[in-house]
Amino acid sequence: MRRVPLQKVGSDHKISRMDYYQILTSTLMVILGTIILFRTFVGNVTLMPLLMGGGFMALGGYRLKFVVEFFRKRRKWDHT
Amino acid sequence: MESATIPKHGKTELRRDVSIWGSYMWGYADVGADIYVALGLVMAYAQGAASLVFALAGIVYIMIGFAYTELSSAYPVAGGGPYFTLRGLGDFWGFVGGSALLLDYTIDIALFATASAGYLNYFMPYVFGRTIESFVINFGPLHNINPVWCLETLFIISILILVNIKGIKESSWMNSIIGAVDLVAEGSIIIFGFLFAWKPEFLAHQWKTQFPTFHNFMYGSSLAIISFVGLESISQAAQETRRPASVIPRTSLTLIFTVFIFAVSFSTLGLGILPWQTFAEHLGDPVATLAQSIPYIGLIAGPFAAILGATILFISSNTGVMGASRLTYALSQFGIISPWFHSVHPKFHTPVRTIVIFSMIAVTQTVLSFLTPSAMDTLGNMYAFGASSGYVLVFIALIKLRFSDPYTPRPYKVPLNINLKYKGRTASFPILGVIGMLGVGTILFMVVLTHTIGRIAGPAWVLLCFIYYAWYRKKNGLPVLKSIKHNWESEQIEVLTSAEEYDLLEQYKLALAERDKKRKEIK
Repeated sequence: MRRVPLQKVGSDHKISRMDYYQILTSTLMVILGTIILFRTFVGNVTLMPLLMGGGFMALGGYRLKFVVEFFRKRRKWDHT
Repeated sequence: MESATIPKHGKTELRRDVSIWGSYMWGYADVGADIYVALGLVMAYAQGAASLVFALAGIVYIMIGFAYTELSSAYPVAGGGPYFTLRGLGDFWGFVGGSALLLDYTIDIALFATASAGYLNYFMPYVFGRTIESFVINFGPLHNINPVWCLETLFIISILILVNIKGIKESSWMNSIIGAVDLVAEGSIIIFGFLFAWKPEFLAHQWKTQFPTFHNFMYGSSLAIISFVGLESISQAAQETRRPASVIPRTSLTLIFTVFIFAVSFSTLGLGILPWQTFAEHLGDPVATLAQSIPYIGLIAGPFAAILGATILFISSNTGVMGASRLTYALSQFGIISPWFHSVHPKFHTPVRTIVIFSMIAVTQTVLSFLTPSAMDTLGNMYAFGASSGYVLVFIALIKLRFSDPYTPRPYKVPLNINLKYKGRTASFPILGVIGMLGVGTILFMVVLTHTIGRIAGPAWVLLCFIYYAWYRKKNGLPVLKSIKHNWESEQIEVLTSAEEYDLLEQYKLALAERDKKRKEIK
């Protein structure tokens, strides 16, 4: 998915198995990051779990941003 | 620079048969496996601060990764770090970088074969009814010697020699499959571990009450760099990767972040599940020990992680054999070592002499390290020395090449640059390169300061290599401390042509033509 520039995205662009894998791992990163942060705040707050949880959330969120943008562009292309 | 030429010899090209996935897995099989070894070793010294130590070393590693990505995509040749050093700083420093890296490759073979056997020994109580520790003997002044573990390691190395003499294709295929399984398995351990077993309050307890002394923190930090060694492999694979300029940045950056996430996750997870002392007691199989402590999946995950660990460490050991042979192949092409090493087997097309010689050096290192109280620790010591000294030189070369060779197109550049005026033209100065160099320099300083064996055996190895280098160069009438005149421009054109990077080739020729035009105008 990332190999195709967003402005060139059309409805004919297919999502590959690798794309699905990346969407899955990005979603898992956000979920895992949230769980780590939640459990850290409920228990004892230390530096590393905060960085870990925050890092997972940020990285997963950053990758998912491209997925959302891709689907938005494709929907827009479909309408025009 | 003196005007002498490299001795002429027949050129036999290595095959270019590594795909994108193969290139990524080549690196992953090497770097990804490091955590299987480093987790126990680092925990033993960094104790409650192990995850912090992994993160700090990881940040330095990310900067090293950026530097390698830039240089490997710009110069896609098998030489890797020493080639960049040779090109940026000259023959002598290229040799120093090469010898440090050769030390690492031979240690890589020995250390990972030892660790692979360590994970196989996880099953020993179930098969033979006794643990590997029960074979430990004391012999005169030598304590804690384990001849059984040593023999297992030597057996693994001999298998690797045979696999590598036969050819690279089989090895790359093997890397890809097992690397993919390992990615899924490591990911599963992290997810299940954080969901069902991780206790943040236990991690906080260890952080607060088991924080290491300053000496142990330094020792642990310098050892942690071994969990990130192996980027060299992806650079070595560049020569055998199709369209390296577009492939290497993608595979390399993905690799850097995958490994960083795994290393920091495993250490944070580990300290939230088990006391650090448990990892220190299981230096041979720390990941399997962690996996078996996870509820629901532990019963299967423990043995599975042990099998996987043994396999991926075997592959990692294999990349050491491949790396050493390819590095010597590259060094011989530039007159750093004899063309005798350059010879390729007529049937298998593999550098058979280097495979045998450097594997034998690894065998010697294995035997000697097993004569010390902890073979893993001894090998880890030397591994850290070779890696950090080689990386310092790569950073210096990165900065120097930005000024001395601005014409080579760089499909990827280390982030954070400032433009400076240099000899009438604009050069891009890598700030992150300087920060990275200081980071690795600090690690090298800590290695020399705290590693008793590393600070003696490491420089002794470089000195031994220097004796050979000086003898070879003098014998062939080549300067020892100065450089042979290399025609880097035609070399670069050849490299880009053989790599089928025609766009970059065009850019390069255009940049050279513009430079020549300007020079004529000035005259």
